[in-house]
Amino acid sequence: MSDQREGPDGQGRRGKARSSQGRSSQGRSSQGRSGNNLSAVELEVVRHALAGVADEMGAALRRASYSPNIKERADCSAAVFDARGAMVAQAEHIPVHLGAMPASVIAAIDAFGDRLAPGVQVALNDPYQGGTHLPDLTLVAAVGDEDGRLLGYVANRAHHADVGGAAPGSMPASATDIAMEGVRIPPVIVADADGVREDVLGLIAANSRTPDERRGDLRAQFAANHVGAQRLASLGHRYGIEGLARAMTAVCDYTDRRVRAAVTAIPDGVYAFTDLLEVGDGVEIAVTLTVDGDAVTADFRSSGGQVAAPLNAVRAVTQSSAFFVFRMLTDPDAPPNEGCYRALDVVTAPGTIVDAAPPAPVAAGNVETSQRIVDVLLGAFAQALPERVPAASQGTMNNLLLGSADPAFSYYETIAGGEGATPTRDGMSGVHTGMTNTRNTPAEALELAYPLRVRRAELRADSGGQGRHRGGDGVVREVEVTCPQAVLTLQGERRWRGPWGLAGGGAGAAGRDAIVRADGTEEPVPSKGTWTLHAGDRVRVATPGGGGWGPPDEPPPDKSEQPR
Amino acid sequence: MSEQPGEDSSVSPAAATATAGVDVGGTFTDVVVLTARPRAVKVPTTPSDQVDGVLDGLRLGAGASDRVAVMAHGTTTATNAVLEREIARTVLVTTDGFADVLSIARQDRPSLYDLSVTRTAHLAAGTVTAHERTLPDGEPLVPLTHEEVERVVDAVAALEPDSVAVSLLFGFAADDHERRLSDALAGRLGVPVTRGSALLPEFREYERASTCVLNAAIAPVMQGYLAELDRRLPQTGITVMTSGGGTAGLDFAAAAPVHTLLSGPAAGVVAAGAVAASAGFDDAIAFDMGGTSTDVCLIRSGRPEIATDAAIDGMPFRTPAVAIHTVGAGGGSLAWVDPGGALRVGPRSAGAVPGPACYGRGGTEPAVTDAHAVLGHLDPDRELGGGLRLDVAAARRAITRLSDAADGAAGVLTVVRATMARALRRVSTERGVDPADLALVAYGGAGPLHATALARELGCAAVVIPPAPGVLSALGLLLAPLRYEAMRTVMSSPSDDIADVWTALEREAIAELRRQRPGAEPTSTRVADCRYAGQSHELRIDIPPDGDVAGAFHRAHRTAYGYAMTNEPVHIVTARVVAEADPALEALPSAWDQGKAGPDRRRRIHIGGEAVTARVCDRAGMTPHDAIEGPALIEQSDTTTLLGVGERALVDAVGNLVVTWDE
Repeated sequence: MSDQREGPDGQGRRGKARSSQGRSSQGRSSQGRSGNNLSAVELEVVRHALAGVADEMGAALRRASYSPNIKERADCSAAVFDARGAMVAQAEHIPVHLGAMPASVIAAIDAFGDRLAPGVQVALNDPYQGGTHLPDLTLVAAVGDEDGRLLGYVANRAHHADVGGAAPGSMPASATDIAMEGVRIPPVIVADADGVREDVLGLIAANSRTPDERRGDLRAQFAANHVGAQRLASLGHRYGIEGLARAMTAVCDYTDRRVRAAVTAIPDGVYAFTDLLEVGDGVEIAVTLTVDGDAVTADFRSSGGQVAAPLNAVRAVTQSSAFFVFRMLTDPDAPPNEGCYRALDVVTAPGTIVDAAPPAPVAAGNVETSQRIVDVLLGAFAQALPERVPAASQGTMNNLLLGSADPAFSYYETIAGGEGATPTRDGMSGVHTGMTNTRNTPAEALELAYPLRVRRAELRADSGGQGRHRGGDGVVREVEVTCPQAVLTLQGERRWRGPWGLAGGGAGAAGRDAIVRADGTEEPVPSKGTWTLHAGDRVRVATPGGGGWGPPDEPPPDKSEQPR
Repeated sequence: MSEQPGEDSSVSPAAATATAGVDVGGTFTDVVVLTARPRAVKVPTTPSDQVDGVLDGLRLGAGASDRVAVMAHGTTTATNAVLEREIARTVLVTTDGFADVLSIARQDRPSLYDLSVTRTAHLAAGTVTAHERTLPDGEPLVPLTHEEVERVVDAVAALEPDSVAVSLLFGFAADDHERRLSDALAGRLGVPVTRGSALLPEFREYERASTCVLNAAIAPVMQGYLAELDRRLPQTGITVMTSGGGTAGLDFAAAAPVHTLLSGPAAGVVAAGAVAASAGFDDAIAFDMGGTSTDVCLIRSGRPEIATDAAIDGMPFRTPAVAIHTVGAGGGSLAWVDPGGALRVGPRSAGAVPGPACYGRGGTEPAVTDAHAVLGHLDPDRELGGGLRLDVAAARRAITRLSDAADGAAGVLTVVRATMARALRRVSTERGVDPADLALVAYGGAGPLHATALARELGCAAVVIPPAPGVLSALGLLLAPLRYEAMRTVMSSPSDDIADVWTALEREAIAELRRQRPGAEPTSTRVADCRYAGQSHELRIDIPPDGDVAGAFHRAHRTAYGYAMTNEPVHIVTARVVAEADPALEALPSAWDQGKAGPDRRRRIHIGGEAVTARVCDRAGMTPHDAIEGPALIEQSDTTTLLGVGERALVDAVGNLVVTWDE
């Protein structure tokens, strides 16, 4: 299959693993099915071995990292790839990295070809060349055997707290182009036979507000790849170069078999769904899902055009979101590798909000638009699998940033909400859903570190949608400023309309944001913007509830299934 | 049974006094009795009342003539109460604005992709919030009024609780509000009250509240159990094992039972540390493979690692706990071929009933134990109780149920090894520890069958198998010191003067141990949880004699994470004083009473796909300095040690089998 990169004229680009060598998932899977017969025992042993490499890399990354974002919130992942760039194992901590890592490795191979030889490492964060948004920095290392023959690649990705741009945290709500969001790093060689290129590292660090922290976290990323390369090389030693290649393909084929078995159980048909992103007058995200035998196509080409605001998603984000839903609804326990999504073809048109083209800003595409892409896919799959698919969850990450220059501090948090009810149970309350799973900051930790006071952190009563199974409740988080002045930035969604219910279930409550001034006056504010707060002022974020499932008048058959 | 009096005989010249470690597990209650010779027995656990099993075990182990003067106890009472929700009706009292602290938790979900996995429902039947607020420095922003105390007590009383937890925001910074509420609640309701600032004066409101509610929910259950135990063993001084690797007095365990959630497993790793040290290894991995699961724990310098993220059934508790990593695979785990065509082992288990097919109790699915039976690793004439013998034919039938693609019994063991190796890497290589420096201490019923193959796969230095691997936890109970940890979150810099805090903590810790054991002469050490400014992850360090906290932290950080940032300011987050008093047993006992040994024999077995003739001998017949070359099987009542080709076991001075091999 050729690389389709046509404009929004009805044609689009498809597939996931694309490079000058003309890889195609379909081609590889048929090849894989024919000639890689490992025994049931070998399969399980190799699966553990490859997953172990990814686990050890992930552990090394978190162990050696400096910033809490990586160490505590685990906003990072690590993966192993075969010599063709197909992912064979991943230790992912948040779903948004699931499909984004393969794009990074392909971009590095495309950029350097044979120059990306064993011992060479490439860094990148450019959303338009293998990245997702600028804070996520990926490091790719080629790994060879004793004779320098290519065994495969290891790569890891970490969210860096600041990569420059117009605002601390590199996610300015006001960005109208990507230059305002920070330093853009296309694939660049950062280590070769002579070691780490300090000049390039210096360039990256110098573009951050916190250069020492960047060096600390980058060092952890090098350490993780070092561990991964050693472990992969020892597997190469154990299995031989051909044996390892065969084993890697066999593990992906294995996952593919499990996934396709699940896809076959989905009724064939064409299912469409549309939802709205709350920017300008609203931008549509639309998908047409075609289920045909053991394969699925998700066509997003009729989605709206890209915007001059940070909500644009690059194609890798759209793929990640699609892979997330696909994994959730097929075989959630299958080993995460390229076989997870061979059976899924994602089609997008460049220039749309789900396949943005430069110079569109993209920081919130990763955190907000990704959530809406998940929703439209669930909406479409619900028509095929009404007994499996949950109602819409809060569908936003409720990004809250507070900071000031004097006293100097920067606090960033995403806030939980309600989970959509499923056909068999109530939705969970006060929980992260969809493309993120980062933890909150304890009030006591926050108050010890920042001139802030948490006044309230409670569930938002009755915000979950009605239904036979109720949607989970959102959260009310109220934070007071105790220093003279601080700047507040909010980035949220689902403020116009609440998350939808399914099968007759009601919608969850829409989110609401307000500033409560020190004198008690309350100002409702929109979900995206920047404001100045003074001592005693509070921001109150009430996050959306999840949608309900089933008509509310029918009581659930078994109360014991309900989470409290 | 020995007629000689034990060492600490003082009461009656006619009856010897004994010291016993009694560990109650899910199936068996393990007892180690020290009289003239250490002796181990196993009796069935009595789930309806654990006390019966404990007494059975003591009778069998110590005999009628021995008076058990000291008993160190490991109990699953607290754990079972939580897992089976046999808990007290519990109400949480917390600060206004935080009513849902237990529900929101840390806002993450337990599974990224699997919709069927939801968060565990917390244990509080109700929550009452108090209009009060303390600031991080301990100053009251909203003072707690007398009227508010009355209102809260009324509201709690209306919920008719059997137990109450009080955990207010920043209660660790100033405990006045919590004390006043707790006193009023205890006075009015007459039920146990768990106070956060007493149980866990440490920051992070969710984890502290979770710990307090767990404690409150199990306190009445534990109090009932321990009172009954004390009543039926009036002559015996009883201590209870805590999750952190120490023991505590009865009334402490009754008031703070959350400390006993990992009682048995902690005792096992304490003993594993002592076993490794006795064989000359400071660093080791404890490898406890039982019927349904396997526990592994890293041991450094003879001490088990302490966890930062202990939890039970999804609910965190922050009292000190050994860092045990558990995998859901053991001897009873069932093998199956999944729809993708891979051979898997676990998480389903044959359980006690019907058990593996080779037990002949009607099991037909292949378990790990069946694979060993087919390969000849288990004595075919072995008595299983009730007149039953090992049913190798049934095991063979079960194994051949696996599809043709599976390589039969050898394949099952290969897959188990891959699963276990990953668990062992999690506690070693993933923490930056090179397995080449570690010994693998194998125990539990199935551990010694798998240990050498695993250790070789990982590249460990040696395998050490203690004399009584089936009752190692019971032995650990005797080796664990009486221990208490006083703590307080201080959020200070090393240059700050917190001498008052240290003094207060030392006074508290030593007084508590003397209260638990009058006349004790505890030693105390200062420990601190530290981090770099701006980080949110603490490392626990010993305060060095020179007082250079920052230097010690930089070194610890380098060890744990591979680097230090010596220009960054260091924060002391929580100050701790650990007081310890003597354990029941100072050193590992030797010369175990292992029963009678039969003559050596030979058996055809399969190892690593090869048929070999193995020497088979009884552990009971082995004495220090004996050596045995693999292929061999060393049998004892509760476990079998498998030595592969090229492996050598040497019995050391205390009776450990130390296994090494040529590379």
